[in-house]
Amino acid sequence: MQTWIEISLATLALALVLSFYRLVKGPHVADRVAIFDLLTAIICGLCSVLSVTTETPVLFDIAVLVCLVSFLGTATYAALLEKREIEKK
Amino acid sequence: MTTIAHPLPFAILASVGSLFLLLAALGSIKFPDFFTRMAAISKASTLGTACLLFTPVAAQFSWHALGATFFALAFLFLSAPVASHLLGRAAYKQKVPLFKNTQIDEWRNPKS
Repeated sequence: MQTWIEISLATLALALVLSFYRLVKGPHVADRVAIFDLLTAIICGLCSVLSVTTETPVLFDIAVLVCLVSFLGTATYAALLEKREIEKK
Repeated sequence: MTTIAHPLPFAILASVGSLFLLLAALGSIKFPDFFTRMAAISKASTLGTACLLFTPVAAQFSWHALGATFFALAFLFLSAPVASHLLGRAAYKQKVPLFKNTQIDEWRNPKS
């Protein structure tokens, strides 16, 4: 059972690395904002798995808060992109 | 190492959720277009986060963790489609290039 938990943690770390690749390479701002959404999802999952394996329940509250806050970031950036489009006209 | 009360459901949920998040990251690398990447990221990451948020409840049941999980899940399922729709609409208005083999573009020519 221990190996499965380590495999899932390693998979989450690999997902972080792959999404950082797109974060650096992404040709447009919208790509980076979408990847930011994915990064917050991965960090949320990582916190909730680590809260069990390290027996620190505070990490689960952090996971819930990250999950709630990520929507605000994405929505704000989307509104910023639309506003920039309106100002360009 | 710590002892987990119910290791089997915890391990299954953690493996499935992290696998879906890895699929989302792979899709964000391999797909050719912003909008297809967006589809992969929003759907797979929502399912993966939902699986992973249930892991503390699966490992050791407590009403506090269950309430927090349901609160976060309700907000996640309401907010993730809204956020991806907002971002996709803003990107389309910014004329982010579509994939070159795109067949249907209903916003540009509604009759097609």
